[in-house]
Amino acid sequence: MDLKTNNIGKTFSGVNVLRNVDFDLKPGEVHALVGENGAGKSTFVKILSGVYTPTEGDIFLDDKKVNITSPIIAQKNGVSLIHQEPQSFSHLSVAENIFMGHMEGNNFSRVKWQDINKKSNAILQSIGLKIDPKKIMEGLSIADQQMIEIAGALSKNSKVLIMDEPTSPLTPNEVGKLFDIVNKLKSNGMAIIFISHRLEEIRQISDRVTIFRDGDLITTKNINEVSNEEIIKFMIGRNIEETEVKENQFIKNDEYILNVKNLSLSKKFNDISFNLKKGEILGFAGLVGAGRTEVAKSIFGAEKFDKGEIIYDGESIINNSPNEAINNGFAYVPEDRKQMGIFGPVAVEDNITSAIPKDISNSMGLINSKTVTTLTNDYINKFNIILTSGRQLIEELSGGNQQKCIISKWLLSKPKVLILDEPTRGVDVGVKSEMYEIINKLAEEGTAIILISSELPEILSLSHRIIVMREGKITKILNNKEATQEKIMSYAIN
Amino acid sequence: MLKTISIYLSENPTLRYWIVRPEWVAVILLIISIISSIQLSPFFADLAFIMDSATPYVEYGLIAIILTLIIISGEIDLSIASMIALTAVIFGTAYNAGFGMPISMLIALFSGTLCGLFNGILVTQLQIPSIILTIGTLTLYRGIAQSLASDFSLGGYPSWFIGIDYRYIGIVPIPVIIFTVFAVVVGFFLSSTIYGKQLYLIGTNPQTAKYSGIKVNRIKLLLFTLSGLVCGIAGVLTTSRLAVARFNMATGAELEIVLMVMLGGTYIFGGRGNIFGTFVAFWIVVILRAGLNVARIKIESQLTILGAMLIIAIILTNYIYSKSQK
Repeated sequence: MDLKTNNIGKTFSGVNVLRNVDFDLKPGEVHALVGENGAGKSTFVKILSGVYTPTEGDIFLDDKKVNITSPIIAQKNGVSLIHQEPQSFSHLSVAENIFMGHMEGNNFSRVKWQDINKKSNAILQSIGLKIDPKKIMEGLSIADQQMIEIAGALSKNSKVLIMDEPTSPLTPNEVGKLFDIVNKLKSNGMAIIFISHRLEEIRQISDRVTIFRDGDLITTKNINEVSNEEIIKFMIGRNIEETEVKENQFIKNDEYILNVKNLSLSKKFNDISFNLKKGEILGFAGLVGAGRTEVAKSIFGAEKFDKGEIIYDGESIINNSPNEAINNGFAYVPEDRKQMGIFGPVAVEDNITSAIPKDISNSMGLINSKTVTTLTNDYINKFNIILTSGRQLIEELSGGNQQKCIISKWLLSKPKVLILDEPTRGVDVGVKSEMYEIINKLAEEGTAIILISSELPEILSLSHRIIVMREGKITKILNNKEATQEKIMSYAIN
Repeated sequence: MLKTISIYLSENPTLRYWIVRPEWVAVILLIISIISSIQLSPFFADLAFIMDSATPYVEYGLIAIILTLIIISGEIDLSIASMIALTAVIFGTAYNAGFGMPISMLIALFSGTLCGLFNGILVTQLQIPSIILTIGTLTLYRGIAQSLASDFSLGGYPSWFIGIDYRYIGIVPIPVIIFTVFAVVVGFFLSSTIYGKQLYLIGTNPQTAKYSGIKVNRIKLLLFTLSGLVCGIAGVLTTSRLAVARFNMATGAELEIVLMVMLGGTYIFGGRGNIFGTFVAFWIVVILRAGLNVARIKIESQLTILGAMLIIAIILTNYIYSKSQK
């Protein structure tokens, strides 16, 4: 089937995340989508598969305009989405999973099991998969579950298959198997959209590649007319505000406050070693899922680690809980503000003072509410937090102001090592630059900072050194002087 | 009109903090129940009568105070009534086995503490939802009580021990004094200490609490243990009042205790509520029960009315919280 989009756009609560996407997909083609996290490719395929409805623009299938308002309508039109993590009913059989939602019954609505098992078998064989349709889903590998999801799409006579990072949970061997199937489907005339961060795979499997950046479709190229370097350039080619990284007196010394040696946690990250000076901002770059947050959580004591050593101020330590970490002088501003950062329906002042119980109470545990208010007001003024009073509920503030509150909360604990995980996510431009000033100032005062960010300009304009991670491993440590967006990207993706 | 009020309140967080509070629902319900009870019988204007009516509920009230803390921190303990029965039976068994009165009491309190500790360890270490787990121990503890006492009433206590509800200071029965003092102390703890504040934070968002360095598990463990201890105290008090201990004491009381906490405006999903509300709700239950008795409404039908009240309280509490969030 031929798929075309005309001028597709999507706006979420006033924020334009996708603009003017004109895209086309031919039968018998594998069409790759690439772009940084948040570039808009996921939003785009969610629109095609009916998860989101577009704010503007039209979708055409075989030159006929279609209104895809739900995943079911998308499937009826022959468009199926294969999720990155297979979405299966693990206690049901393979055949039930394949025919989930469109099982045929007899006159008494009793499921025709024999029929369904036979059909499942035929579909599985057509893609060269040797699995008993009566087998329970649970024991199967991720790869097999993914294939079964593809089989499910085939059972619905899908003509357009969208695969959202299908290879990321697979082993190289399994990727080969998947590609065999993709090629088979392609030769049968299936139109396939393939999302991946691994350029080598894209080169291997796809015919054309479309690059997204910041909600725009940048360009579509035949894969053999474009080099990896060019693709990377298209992905990051935004205007970069050139800001110099601020040197400070501490950086010149060789006073290391943190020394992480061979830190490993199975299936999350492996052999992570780095050190951190006082007053240094150490950027952690990489794609989402590269393991940066997991490393941070292990250092902060929120998760365990299997192997390795953390040397802090010359002593080997283990933070068994965030509580111990805080007492040792660590602070962690989490990525997921709503789930781990704020106490939503609680007053701002109670949020800001929640990590320093000893500072706001006497030896009997009695709270000194005057201290609470003074400390809160200090930071409200210092960071220009916009609110009606310290008693206002934090969930009523804008994302940027909430984030300022969370940073205030951690600064009150006077950390020596401050871990910032995506500190400017969901924060508007104005607050962003204020945040950068705050971060620089903290470094000047001698705080060691670990900055995890998926925004390369942010990493480049703040960090003295940059660690690039990919799939749980450090692939490169760059000095600020030698680092460029292109270099970082090439180490972050394959 | 309503709109202007709500806008005005959202601009004045401090005022809203004091006005939009579900315990006002409890206060209004209390006033309504007092007025309608006085219509029923002139006895209700007599403070001494109300005090006397309160004594059988003090055991529940004490536990309701602790349960308020547990629910605020986002958990629940439904094994409370069974712990009353089990500790009472253990107390009676110990006394009849020849241990002295003080030792028997200590054994009762200790066994209550152990029961609570067991609940707490399973909830915090195995991460079992407390609503499921304590339904399990509800049955378990009652079962142990039954196998210890069979269908016997364990009695034979010295006369100084029996009838704590008939000892007064002025017109106030001693159990009511115990309850009031306990409510004031725990209320102060909850509202004015850092530990009290942390209970609210844990109940609002346990993840953020963990990342803020609050010892979530340790605090929950302590609360469940405390709940067991207070149930032990309630078990001894009940035995004193009834002069016997039986395995089927306080059957179904967990619901009445939960009713007191909910009626007082504590939010079932945690993070909000206070002791004042529970204290007021205790008196609602006392007056309603006494009023219904005076009106000669059978015990079985009284449950219907209490159940209806519980549902009304939950609806109103949820409504108020959903408004106060915006």
